[in-house]
Amino acid sequence: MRLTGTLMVLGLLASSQIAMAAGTGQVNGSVSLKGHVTNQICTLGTVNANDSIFNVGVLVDTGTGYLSSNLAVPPKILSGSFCNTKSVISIVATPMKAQDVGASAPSGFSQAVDYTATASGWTTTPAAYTTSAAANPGASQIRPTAFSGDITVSLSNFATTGGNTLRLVSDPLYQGIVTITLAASS
Amino acid sequence: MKRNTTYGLLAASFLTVLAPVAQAATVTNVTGEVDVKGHVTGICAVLIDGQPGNSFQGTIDLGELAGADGKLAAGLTGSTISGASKSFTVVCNSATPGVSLSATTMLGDAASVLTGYTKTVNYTAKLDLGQADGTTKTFTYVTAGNPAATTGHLSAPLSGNTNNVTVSVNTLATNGSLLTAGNYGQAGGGTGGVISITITPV
Repeated sequence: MRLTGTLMVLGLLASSQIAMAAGTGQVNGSVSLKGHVTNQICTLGTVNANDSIFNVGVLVDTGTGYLSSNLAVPPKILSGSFCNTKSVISIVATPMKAQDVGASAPSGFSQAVDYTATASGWTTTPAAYTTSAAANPGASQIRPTAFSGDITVSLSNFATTGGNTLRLVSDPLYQGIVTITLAASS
Repeated sequence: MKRNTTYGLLAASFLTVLAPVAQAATVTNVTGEVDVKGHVTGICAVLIDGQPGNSFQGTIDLGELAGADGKLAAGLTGSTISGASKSFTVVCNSATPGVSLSATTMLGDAASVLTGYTKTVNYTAKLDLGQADGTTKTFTYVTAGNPAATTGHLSAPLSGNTNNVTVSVNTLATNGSLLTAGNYGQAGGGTGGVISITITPV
């Protein structure tokens, strides 16, 4: 009987210890958060003053009829452009062409103006495209890192298509298009 | 010697007389008392697959953090984020268990952060505890500024319902910059983003 009693007491102690171990005091928990940013995003910013037209003005020297030698136009700024990864900026442009004239210009005349369009501020070497060039290897430039900032698009090196010895045909609108592309690059 | 013997008999006679008296005393009622006692130690335990334990873990996967504009996705900045919660079953036998809630800012694994970018995401951790009176006690912790843990007590015993403790996250926030590409939170490969909960039986 004494032995049995002793065993019972020990049994109770053991049970008590198990119960305490299973639910001792407090409960600790942790919940971990995770997420990722994998979207490769590139966005061209807003063109300044929401004006996407380069207004070059009168193209010719009204005294000679030749292309004016001092053509200039304020640049356009694409504010708030960004890429969150490696990117490629490309620029393509088309000559300014007279919109209301025939298919071909009379002898001694031209009905188009070439120029160089440049996108700077994004890459060390600006992306540039010359409309008269047979090839424009510098029209695409790579930026190896994510970046945010402004892209400045400017026009320069205006030249009469076919040569500056040609006069420009009168036309109320000479128009070209400059296209800038900013793309994520894997 | 003879006299002595007589005394001895007398003594024996006294014993004989006294014996019934002693027997009469044993029939008096005797009362006794044995007290039974025990105790219930205050405990809290989490039940995982029905088994009690002292800790629980979970992961909330917020997925893509950036929106189309490269900044924190709008769907993550509200006071509720669908699916961004984990529930657990906790039992406590105390009247008003104590609670402590803290969390760490979630960081991306990018080695560097460029101007205009960030890899720091703060958020609000929320802890909802179902109480036995049918109400829910809520604790929140905002990681920005790394404040001291939010502490307090339930206003009633913890309910015995399944999934009576819910941890959730909401109101993610950055400094407004673009988010740097990468993995965020310790569980995802970055750092931080750990919500710590302690429930104490007091």
